[in-house]
Amino acid sequence: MFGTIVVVDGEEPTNGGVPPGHSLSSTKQLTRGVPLSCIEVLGQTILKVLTGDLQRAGANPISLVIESSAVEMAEREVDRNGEIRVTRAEDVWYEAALKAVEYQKAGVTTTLLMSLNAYFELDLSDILQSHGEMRGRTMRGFDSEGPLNLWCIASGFATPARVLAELRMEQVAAYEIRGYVNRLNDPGCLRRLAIDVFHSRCRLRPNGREVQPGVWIANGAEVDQRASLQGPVFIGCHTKVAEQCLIEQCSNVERDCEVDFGTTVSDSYVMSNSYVGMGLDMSHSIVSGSNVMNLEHGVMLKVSDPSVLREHKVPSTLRNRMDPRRPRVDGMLFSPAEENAG
Amino acid sequence: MEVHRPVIVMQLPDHLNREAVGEFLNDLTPLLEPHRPRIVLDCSQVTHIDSAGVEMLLHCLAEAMKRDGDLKLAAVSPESKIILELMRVEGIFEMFETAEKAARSFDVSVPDLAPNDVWHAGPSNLESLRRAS
Repeated sequence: MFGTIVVVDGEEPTNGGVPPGHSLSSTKQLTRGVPLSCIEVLGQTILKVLTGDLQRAGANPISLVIESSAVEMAEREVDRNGEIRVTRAEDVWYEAALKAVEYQKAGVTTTLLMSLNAYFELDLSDILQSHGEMRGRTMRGFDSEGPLNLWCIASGFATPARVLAELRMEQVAAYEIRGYVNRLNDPGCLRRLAIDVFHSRCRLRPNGREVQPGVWIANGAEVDQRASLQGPVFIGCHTKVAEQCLIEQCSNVERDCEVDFGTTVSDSYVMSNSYVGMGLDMSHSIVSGSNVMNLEHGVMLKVSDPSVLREHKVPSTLRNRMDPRRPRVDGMLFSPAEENAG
Repeated sequence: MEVHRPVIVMQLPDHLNREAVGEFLNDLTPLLEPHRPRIVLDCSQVTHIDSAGVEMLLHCLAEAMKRDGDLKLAAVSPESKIILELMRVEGIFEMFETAEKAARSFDVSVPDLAPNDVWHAGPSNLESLRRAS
């Protein structure tokens, strides 16, 4: 029996802090304070993908420990079915250690403890087998860049303090993760993840229907027949792309966005609920509401002109009128598509 | 014989938005009226620019070019450059690191501009600039 504890937005339990070359303020500006693992990329969050993987692998119980006010978001994201418990805590690592002790008391023999400050594609059966061969020693995941916040711990720790001491140990057995790893240091890493998905460098697939080779459209998206989508690209749920627009070069426009008349979105990531105005050339950028980070120039700015960029709310009345089962793409109607392609 | 006109350098306000555009145009328009105006807009103070500001820059460039002149931008911040890129106009303007380099670029055959060849338009000398134009 193995259980999992997922820390959603905690810093490193050992030394903490912000990774080098990473600006916390610009990240918060773009993410609106939401943990990166709870932000949709290609129609899904890292949180949803990883918890889904854990459920399919038979992890039980699964606990999410969250520091921020993103609890409600996390609860919406995961398919709980009574199997996933969400806990808000000020000290997420102490709470996680407490849960590990509780797991042991409930008979869980192996606990996988991970933080979602990275996206990793794991071979869970291989991890459990390797841990078994270590005869109960704590094992930490590593990749070519160093240690990751992923531990496999056995029973035998009587208190949370003992668990935390074990996590802080530098001399632990190393488990090399050979699968795809993306350290979610900043929103640029989510952009890199999208590009890696488009180029099939990882297992993750866009959460939508592939209507042409390399063009994925989620349910309820509306793409004008005079707009052009040059794959690989992704258009999210209930997003509207107006006429004469061009979406190209691995761009992903997430849910509830609007790209207005004649605008080109190239090599860019438009986060959910963003309006991109008419006649613009959005290239090499990440857009979130009125904020734009240009990845080429390394510059972050807030656009004060709402006709250029702004937060986009789809009125609930309009959303209700859209039939999610009938996405309109290039003037054609498609039948219901599976929400999760993964 | 062609009259050698001075290059006029004007400082753009920190907020180049709908509110600021009118006042700035009042100052700049007379300088665009003579034949072959040579204008440099120094953007070093610009912290905010919106679509009205970009439209104003395009209008001024069009007016200068109508009279066989030119308008160049200097010291454009990366933030302003992104706005110009976003609005697809960054290739329309010639941009330079400094106002001095922009001024020199009007006549590349003259290696050193004489002090009288560059006029810095501030509130105190706008009137004399208008007369000179």
